[in-house]
Amino acid sequence: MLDHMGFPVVDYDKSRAFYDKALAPLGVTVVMAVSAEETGGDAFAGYGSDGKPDFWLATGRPAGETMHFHVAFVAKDRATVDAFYATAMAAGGRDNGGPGIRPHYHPNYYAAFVFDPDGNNIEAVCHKPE
Amino acid sequence: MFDHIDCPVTDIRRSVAFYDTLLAPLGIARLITRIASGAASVSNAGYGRQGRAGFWLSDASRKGHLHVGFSAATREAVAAFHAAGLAAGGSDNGGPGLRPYAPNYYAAYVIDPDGHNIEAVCRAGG
Repeated sequence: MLDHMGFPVVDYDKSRAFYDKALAPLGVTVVMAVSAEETGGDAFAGYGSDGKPDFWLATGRPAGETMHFHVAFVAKDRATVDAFYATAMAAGGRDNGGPGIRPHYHPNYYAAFVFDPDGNNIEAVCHKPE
Repeated sequence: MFDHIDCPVTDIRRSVAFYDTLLAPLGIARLITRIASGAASVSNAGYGRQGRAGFWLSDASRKGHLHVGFSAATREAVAAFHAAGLAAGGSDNGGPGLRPYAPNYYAAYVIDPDGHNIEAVCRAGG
């Protein structure tokens, strides 16, 4: 049901150290890390097992500010991603990126993004080629 | 990898209305709803498929903090997670042991550096 999730942290190095150690016994390790230099903005670390990053930490949360998280749900096909987005827009959701390929993630990453009422970034994604 | 996640919301009724609509195209329905009547209580709603709620919204006392439950293959892995989390500077939020949520629900809880409640849970019998 869940594809992946993530959130920004106040102290990236401290949180990396914590999750590196705490998740290791579960067989969950950093499988993808992107530096601030590489993104030109925030740094990211994606934890997972079997090579797929499912749990993401990012820099960029100012201390004391409200945290906004990101959750992505699995969609079985691209039409389902389209329906997710259309339904959300019809329900008064705020657009954060309409249905389409996000080639910078991978060539078949078809996703749509909406903000929930609290400003959290909610995604539906289909990884399968069509 | 995930067993379940619980996301903090500011207005459970508003969020339930939104997520009911949002998740329906994905085949994900609201399976459990508890709306608290007293100020001290917690309201929450669990969404999932096939009778198993994996995505929760809650209007909880730990406002602004996520709860993430990771799957553990064994009870030993749950204990190792808890020990490693504490050694890494996390704070204890409940040691390894059975919890009454479901039969064989063996879990441990650690608070991460940002205050998020991180769990490892093994549902296999010990």
